[in-house]
Amino acid sequence: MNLFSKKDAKSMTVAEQFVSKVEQEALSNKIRVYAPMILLVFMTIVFSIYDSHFFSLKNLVNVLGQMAVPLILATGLTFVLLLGRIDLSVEGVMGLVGSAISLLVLNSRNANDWGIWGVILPLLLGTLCGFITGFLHVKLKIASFIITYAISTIVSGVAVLLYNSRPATVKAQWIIDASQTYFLKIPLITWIAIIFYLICAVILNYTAFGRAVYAIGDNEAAAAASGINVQKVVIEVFVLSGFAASLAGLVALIRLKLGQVSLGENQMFPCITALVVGGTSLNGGKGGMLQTMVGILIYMELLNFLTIIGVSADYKNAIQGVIIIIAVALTITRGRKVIAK
Amino acid sequence: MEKELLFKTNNIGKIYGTNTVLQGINVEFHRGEIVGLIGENGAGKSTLMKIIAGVENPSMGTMEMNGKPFKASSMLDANKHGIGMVFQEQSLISNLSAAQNIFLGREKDFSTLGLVNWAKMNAAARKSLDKLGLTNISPSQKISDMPFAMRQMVEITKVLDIVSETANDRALILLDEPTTVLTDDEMKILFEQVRLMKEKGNCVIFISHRLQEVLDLTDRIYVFKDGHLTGEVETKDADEYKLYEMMVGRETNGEYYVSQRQTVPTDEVVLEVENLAMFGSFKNVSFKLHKGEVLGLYGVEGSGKEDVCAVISGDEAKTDGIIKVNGKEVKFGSPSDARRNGILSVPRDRRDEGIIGLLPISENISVSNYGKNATAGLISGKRQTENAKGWIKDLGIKCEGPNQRISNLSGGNAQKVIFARVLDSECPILILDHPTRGVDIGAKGDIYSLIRDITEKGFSVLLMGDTLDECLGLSSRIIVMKDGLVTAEFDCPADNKPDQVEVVQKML
Amino acid sequence: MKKALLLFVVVAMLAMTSAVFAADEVWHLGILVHSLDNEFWAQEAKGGELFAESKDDVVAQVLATDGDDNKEMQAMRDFIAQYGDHAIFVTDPASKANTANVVEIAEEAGAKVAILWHHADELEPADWDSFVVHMSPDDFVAGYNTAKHLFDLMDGEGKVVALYGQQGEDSAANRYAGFLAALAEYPKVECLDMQVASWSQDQAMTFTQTWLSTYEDIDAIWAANDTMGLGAIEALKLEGKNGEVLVCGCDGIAAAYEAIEEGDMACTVANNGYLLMGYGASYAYQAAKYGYEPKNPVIKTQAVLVTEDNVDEYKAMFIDGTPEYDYDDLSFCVLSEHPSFAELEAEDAAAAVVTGAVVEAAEEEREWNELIDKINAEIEKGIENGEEGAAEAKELMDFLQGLYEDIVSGEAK
Repeated sequence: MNLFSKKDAKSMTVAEQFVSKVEQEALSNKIRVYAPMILLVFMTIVFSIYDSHFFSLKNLVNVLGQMAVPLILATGLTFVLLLGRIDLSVEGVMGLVGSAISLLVLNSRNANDWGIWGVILPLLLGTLCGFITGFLHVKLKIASFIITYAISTIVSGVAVLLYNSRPATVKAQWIIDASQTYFLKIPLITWIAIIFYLICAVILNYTAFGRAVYAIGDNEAAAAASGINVQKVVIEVFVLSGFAASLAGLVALIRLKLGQVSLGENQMFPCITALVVGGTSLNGGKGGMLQTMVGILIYMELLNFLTIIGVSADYKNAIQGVIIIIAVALTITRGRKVIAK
Repeated sequence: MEKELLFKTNNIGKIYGTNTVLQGINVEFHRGEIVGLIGENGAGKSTLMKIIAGVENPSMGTMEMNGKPFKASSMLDANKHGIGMVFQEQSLISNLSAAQNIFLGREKDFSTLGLVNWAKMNAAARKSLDKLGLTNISPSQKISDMPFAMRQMVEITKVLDIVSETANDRALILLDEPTTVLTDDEMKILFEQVRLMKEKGNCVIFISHRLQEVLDLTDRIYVFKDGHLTGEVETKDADEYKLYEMMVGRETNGEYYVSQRQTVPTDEVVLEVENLAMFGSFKNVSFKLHKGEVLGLYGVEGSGKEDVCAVISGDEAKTDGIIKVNGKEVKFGSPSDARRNGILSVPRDRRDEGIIGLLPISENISVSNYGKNATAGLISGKRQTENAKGWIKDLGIKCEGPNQRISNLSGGNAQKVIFARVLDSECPILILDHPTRGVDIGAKGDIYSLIRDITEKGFSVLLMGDTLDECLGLSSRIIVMKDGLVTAEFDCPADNKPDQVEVVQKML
Repeated sequence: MKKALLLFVVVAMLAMTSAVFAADEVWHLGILVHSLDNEFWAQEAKGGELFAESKDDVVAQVLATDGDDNKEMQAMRDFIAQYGDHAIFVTDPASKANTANVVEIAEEAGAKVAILWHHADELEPADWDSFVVHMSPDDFVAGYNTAKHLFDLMDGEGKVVALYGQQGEDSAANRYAGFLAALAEYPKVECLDMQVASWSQDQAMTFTQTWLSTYEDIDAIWAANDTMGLGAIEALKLEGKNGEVLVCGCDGIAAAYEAIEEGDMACTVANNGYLLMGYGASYAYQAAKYGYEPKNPVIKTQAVLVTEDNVDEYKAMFIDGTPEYDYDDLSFCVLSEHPSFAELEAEDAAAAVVTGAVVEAAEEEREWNELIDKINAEIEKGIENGEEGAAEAKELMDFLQGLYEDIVSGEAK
């Protein structure tokens, strides 16, 4: 329809014009939804042509390995963002859980060797942090970015106290083995991330809870009127995010072996950026697991590619920033009356 | 009366603080009837509905449903008793499908091990939609992809489905102004559905400001005024005029629109559009607006009249044509461009676009023209307050003072504040988009007088009236639109208004 | 009952007076560090505390700045508001630029400050009363030494990649400059790539993985700190190349020592936070108490290259225990081989300070003991006579009241 010349458009009746306009809008909406996916494919092709190392099996396996932590965090954050909330505590919880595990399994600092419980209990602890965050957010009606920031500083502090400023190195052989286990050439930690991602995708798309998350993010009052227990769902989402952060802490520890708060450092904002690039709205209600995966892949590929071609560190951050702005600008919906907040 | 009693209230009342908003209400609703509730804004009908639907608790009195005492702690609770309410503001989730919306919060019936079977849910939704004859709505279609009226139907389907779960054909459905956003065709469908529900033995309560609709649809009408039930009438014994009398206790006739003060258009053209077009909405629209004139723009929803106003007020971009202000061609990129050229629009949706609820009256008045009360860019609060006081007096705005929050005002008074802003901005061309929508009859009269006042002062008004009657009564000329085109233009001198049937013929 | 009450009053009064009296002579050390979540920063803070523990008249408090300029300034102002010119500071500053603010705040209050690691250009200790000393390990030397050690192990031939610290930080730049200087001395060593890993273990690991998939034959990875070195080692472990590809670090954290013990890391530099901040605090203290001014106020502190040969010794000293230093011997911390320092001068100055401190401390102790004896005698007298009448108790109380007022008015002067 848009191929018609202006004169043709003029000769249409208004009703015909309307139909064509609606079709065009539907098309551009679809493009907007698929833009990140197209971008991902385009990037992959261009990068592969530019440098043959990029598409090598070894490098792709690398990217997959490095993807584990961001993917887990982003999966948890997808629920939080869909609610229209934010969770700034994930970095702190990651650090806390990683540090706690490193001190409870066989390690260089103390005589503990709690085996699998040394992993399970810290995971529960991190999940509990998510519950406390959600509970305080809902019951005290504190804005999520404030309460989660507060929780983040608290748990980081607790973590530092735990290892008393001197992080422990993990010596438990089974964790060391886990870091070197591959299945189909893909590291175990990435499989953990992918399984977690798939489970969450099912939860989001095939359960009442998942629908409730969309409903609350779009129209909280209407969701409540429909009989959804909004407070419960919000708390559950923070619990899920807390568990995701804990799992990310475990995976980061498996990767790095050194249990310290900086396990979580600079993990959250790249994830949120990746989510937005993928097409998830910060205002809630819009987005999904597919978008999350696409966003993470775009982000990881970009990072990897810039390293491979040896872009000077001075330009790297700038290039990253520009690409993010372009990606977001391509994907978000804009209206004349809408100014982003 | 032969019909079986479904629901009744005994001396229901509601008090907010020291303010009694509802007192001693005794109403009865029967199976298989449609009952209309009418009354001015704030008369208490919405409060009564909210009490019945479980949104609010009554301060006094009791209720009975199916002969048993009834008390709802929440809307959900009321649903379980077979009472459902369709709200004025839609409560659908735009990113979910019709089926997911209909069964939101009730997914358990379709779940195994916590996983929802979407196919099963869609099939159930299909059944519910079919029951209402809504065969054109697909259960898997996203709400955001639907036209507005279709969404309303989904909403009604949802409520009906919820209540029929527990009260098969013994449901009490409350419709709070469901027709405001619907076109005539859509309304017809809605009415059919409502009658269908009635025939099956349900009771429907229908609230509307459009008296003709109430007369068309209902069997019985309750009239409310100032928190009291003031009248009950069988619909077959009533007409529009009688209902007006019952509602306000005063007659409305030709003088209602203050026609004796209608100005005669001058020759001076302040705004002229030539072949104006917006792709997909309207085209070839040309007219001239004279100084001191009220020019009515009328047509059904979707005829393009709203977009014509939106383009002229800078809200939307035109795709073709010319706009001239005082003979000079202008181009608008935004409403503020239009304002600079002397065009100001008073939006229809006051709550969303018109008022800034958290700010006091004085700020709301001067927001379009801050410069007037400022020296070197700094706003003088004192001058702003003084300015507001003047307008409050001139327009008779009922409020505590210029520093009261505008969100605490009634609809009519809030609208007056917006008029004060318009007048304060000193823009000579005003676009009034349904200025009396949602305003009670008393305040309407004031607004009509105001429109006469400002045209006498030399302002020009482009009016989109709430009803044809209003549009004809106020305008000195009207332009009728249909399907994006101008189909007719009528002169409407004060003493010789055109025949409404003639206008309607051009419109439909 | 009466007696017990009297005793209680006396003891309470005494406690008050001694507290006020003591406050007059105590120096309050504000230890400004980024935070305690980093092992090296924690080592620094501990060093400051160890110094305070070694002195009877120093009370230390750790003030975390989170690397935030404003937090650091606010912490200083609060501390000064509380302790006035008896506040002294030792700081690992939030940023290079903020050192100018640190010095200005201290100067205004007359509080002495020692600044570690970096200081703003043209901000020289000599120009300020309050800015006692600037101390830092020599980052250039550290970067040079670790690189040289790697290249020697490679027999002066092969391929290396480098992990840079945080962009915009002096220590990152200087360590890398040291690396480049060493590289220039070994013409057969080729640097394949350098990446900015911002001191992060995670980023270092990611970069290393990417390198390992891009380059076939990396012989060594030079990392500007231990954390990044450990990240590189984790990446190597996944390929089974740990120990095979040489890795170095810098700073000397516990995990790095372990990695050296296990043969995964070739070397690190023990920057010794204990020494750095402990002696920094000592300089500030000496300056505040005795008006001591170091002749050369820009000091490069000693830092040791730790390899498999000496790792046991340093691990025992820094990790399993804490080092014991004679903080009055100010010259001890100075990097001896650094040419820009006249060792002798520093030693002379330190000796002078030690003497002054000892004499003054002895005099003070004597005065204090006399006063305590006097008070004790009075109290005993009061208690003996307590049974016989309230009059004497009142006298005693008046005496204590007088003593208290004397001290208070004395303080006011």
